Amino acid sequence: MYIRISQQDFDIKEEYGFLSAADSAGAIVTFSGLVRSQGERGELLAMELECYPGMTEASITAIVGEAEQKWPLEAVRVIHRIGRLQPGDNIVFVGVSASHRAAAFAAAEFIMDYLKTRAPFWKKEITAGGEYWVEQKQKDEQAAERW
Amino acid sequence: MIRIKYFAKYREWMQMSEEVLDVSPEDIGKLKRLIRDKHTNALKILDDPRCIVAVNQQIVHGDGVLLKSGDEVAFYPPVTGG
Repeated sequence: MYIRISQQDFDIKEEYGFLSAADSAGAIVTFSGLVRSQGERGELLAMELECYPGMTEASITAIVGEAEQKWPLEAVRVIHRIGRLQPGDNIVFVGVSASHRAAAFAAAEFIMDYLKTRAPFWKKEITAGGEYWVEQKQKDEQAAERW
Repeated sequence: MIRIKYFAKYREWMQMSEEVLDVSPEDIGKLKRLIRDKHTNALKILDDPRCIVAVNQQIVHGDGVLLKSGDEVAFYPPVTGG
């Protein structure tokens, strides 16, 4: 597994190349999350992302480890950005390769659902009217609970 | 010695990301009492039912969790990454 938390952007083509290089890869699922232009309280000027260095990496490692126990996976790559981002910027990338699509789809969704509710990251929306910390959504918690 | 970390809105409420206590309270409950006595604005965190507590980067539950000198204790709100 490859996990990276950084301010740096990622290149989806490059990530796809790493995933397809796995020996028995027959199916690749990738997800990328972007900064929306509309936040919870209007138009976004920027978004700030904070993490808990060390614990965040460990928490994603544990989540990917759980996914590897549940499904036969060839490769997993998770990248999450921190710092100040603009609308349209990439925030998160999850890529999974497996022999068959069912495992790849399920594992990618599982990793995202768990990442959203377990990994210590916090988002703050910067709008013309002020700055607001994003609140955790109940639907995200429900999505993680179904696994 | 206990290192305390605050994240996101808690960091802003406390106006610091980290502090070091020279004393070593024996459990989380006693640590919370120390923080409450030291900072009036800590009440908002300690009274937040959704506050998450981690000791040495592992989430813990309840005030009875034991601490030892050198531990890192983090207080943070529900996470919103992804």
